[in-house]
Amino acid sequence: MRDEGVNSRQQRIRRAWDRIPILQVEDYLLASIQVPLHDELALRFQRDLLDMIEQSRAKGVIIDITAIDVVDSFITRILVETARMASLMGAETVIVGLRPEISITLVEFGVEFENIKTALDLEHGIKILKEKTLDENLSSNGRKSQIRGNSDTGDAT
Amino acid sequence: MIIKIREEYDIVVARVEAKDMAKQIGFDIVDQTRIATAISELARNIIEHGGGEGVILINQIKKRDEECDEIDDEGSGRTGLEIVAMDRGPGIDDIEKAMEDGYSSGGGLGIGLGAVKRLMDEFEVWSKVGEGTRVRVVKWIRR
Repeated sequence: MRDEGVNSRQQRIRRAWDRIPILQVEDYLLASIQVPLHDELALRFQRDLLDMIEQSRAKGVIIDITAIDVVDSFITRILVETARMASLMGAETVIVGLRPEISITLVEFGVEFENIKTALDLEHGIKILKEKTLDENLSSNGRKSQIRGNSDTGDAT
Repeated sequence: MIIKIREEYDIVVARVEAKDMAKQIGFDIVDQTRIATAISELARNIIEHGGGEGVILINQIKKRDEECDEIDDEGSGRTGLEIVAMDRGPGIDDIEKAMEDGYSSGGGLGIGLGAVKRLMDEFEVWSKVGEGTRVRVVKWIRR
């Protein structure tokens, strides 16, 4: 009886989505991971995301892990690697939706989201990416220094 | 419950089953997550370092309280979840080293058994080179 239970569950996991959908919203890509990440799915997701960055010229990526109930060392490694790869292609990654129990376990466990930004939810994630891309736009066309110059003169008067 | 670990899909199965059982027994969500994370690492160790094949046993256990002499079914003792992961792989030649963070004999994960120990209440490892490895961990329900 019990073995059948395990087997049918295994079947379901196998049949679960074979791809993680990635959506584009303006300059950003949004991927919401809703199913347990196994190795094959994780590697396909990495590849799909990088392909999408290339096609869409996205400036930022948001990975939503609200639906993930366990973040082990494997998933952490996949997320950290994916973010690093995306960064090489010019897209900043923000991971959103870390639940309290996940944060507690991650810290006790001792793994780290090295060099990845995290945010509470989608809204905060988008805000972080917008601020980041705005900063880049300002500095690239020199308006940033101009603004700073103006405020300096403002202080003097 | 016995879960055979033979391929990486089985890691997900082990984790889902352990979390379900922990929930049924009455662990809170943080402990459920700790248990699921620990079993996930143990199952992955079997795949990556334990010769690729092994079993994981998950059992509900009870222990007598220090203060009371009798254990009864209704709960004067403490309830816990015991996980035993076994493989007949190459074994660990330096267990102390395997416990250190950042050590991984298979050159993979960089998270040692020490991390699993931190998530659980009890931790035992037995290993002999050429024979295999057995790891036993327990989490007790907090009162």
